[in-house]
Amino acid sequence: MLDFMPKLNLSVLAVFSVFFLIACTAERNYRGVADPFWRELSGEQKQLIVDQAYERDFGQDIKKEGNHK
Amino acid sequence: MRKNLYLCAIATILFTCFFLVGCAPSKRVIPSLQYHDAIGMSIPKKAHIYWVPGKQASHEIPPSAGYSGNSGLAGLIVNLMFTSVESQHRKSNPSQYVLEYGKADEAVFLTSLRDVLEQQHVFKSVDLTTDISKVNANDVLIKIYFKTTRVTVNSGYLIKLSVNLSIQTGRQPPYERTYLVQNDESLDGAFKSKGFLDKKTEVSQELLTLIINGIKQWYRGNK
Repeated sequence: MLDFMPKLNLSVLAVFSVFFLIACTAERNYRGVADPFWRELSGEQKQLIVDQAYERDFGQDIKKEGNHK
Repeated sequence: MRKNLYLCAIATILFTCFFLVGCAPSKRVIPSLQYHDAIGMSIPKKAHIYWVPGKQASHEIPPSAGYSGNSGLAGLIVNLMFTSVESQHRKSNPSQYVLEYGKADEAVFLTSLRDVLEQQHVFKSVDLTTDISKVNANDVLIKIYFKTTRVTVNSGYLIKLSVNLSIQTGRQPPYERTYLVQNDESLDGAFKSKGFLDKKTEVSQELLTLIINGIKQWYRGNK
């Protein structure tokens, strides 16, 4: 009754591993913007997002350091 | 049993198509916005557009019910494959399962606003800034704070934007307005074929008009 199992298992496993490879291709995230969105932006828009994130994350620290000097 | 095997193979081919279609690139960020009416004012000062992103509430597309094409062992295996691959794909590619008005859309909105103000020579020059400390006191600072951007899905897509506009120059008190913009869900019956991107573009276009009207009002008040 189970003579089909090796064939079935092999083919299913083969396809399953291919699918998993597809599924495991994780999208990247640039400063809170997912890769598919990021690729649609112009260079200036990307720069704006990067600058804004930089300013939010480090702007205050840099200004404080500047004041200490 | 061979039939089951074939069914499995067909189902897997269908899955491949499903995921490849899902992964295929399609436009998801709003296009550059246009403003065709004449603004009709000229301010001999430099302007700086300062962007502050706020909270984003997104809508997550619920997982599909799974595969129900075949019962028995093959169906069970296919269903298991489907759910596990889908859940893995969701984890690895969250943006494909989330509807949002995000930072990318806001960035496009700001560059569009800058372009409109530049094309119509409203100010001597207009730039986008992220550092408020570099702005000269005599220049015009246009602060655009996207307080909340919310996306919900009921009978159709509902996008709600709450945006604060603040304009300041010199020692004058800032001109401040808050705009609440949302698309009309009741139109969904007539325009059901309109996709999420179209709705986002509509809302953005409306917001652009309101912001430009706000700049006009500020100008009239400071004449």
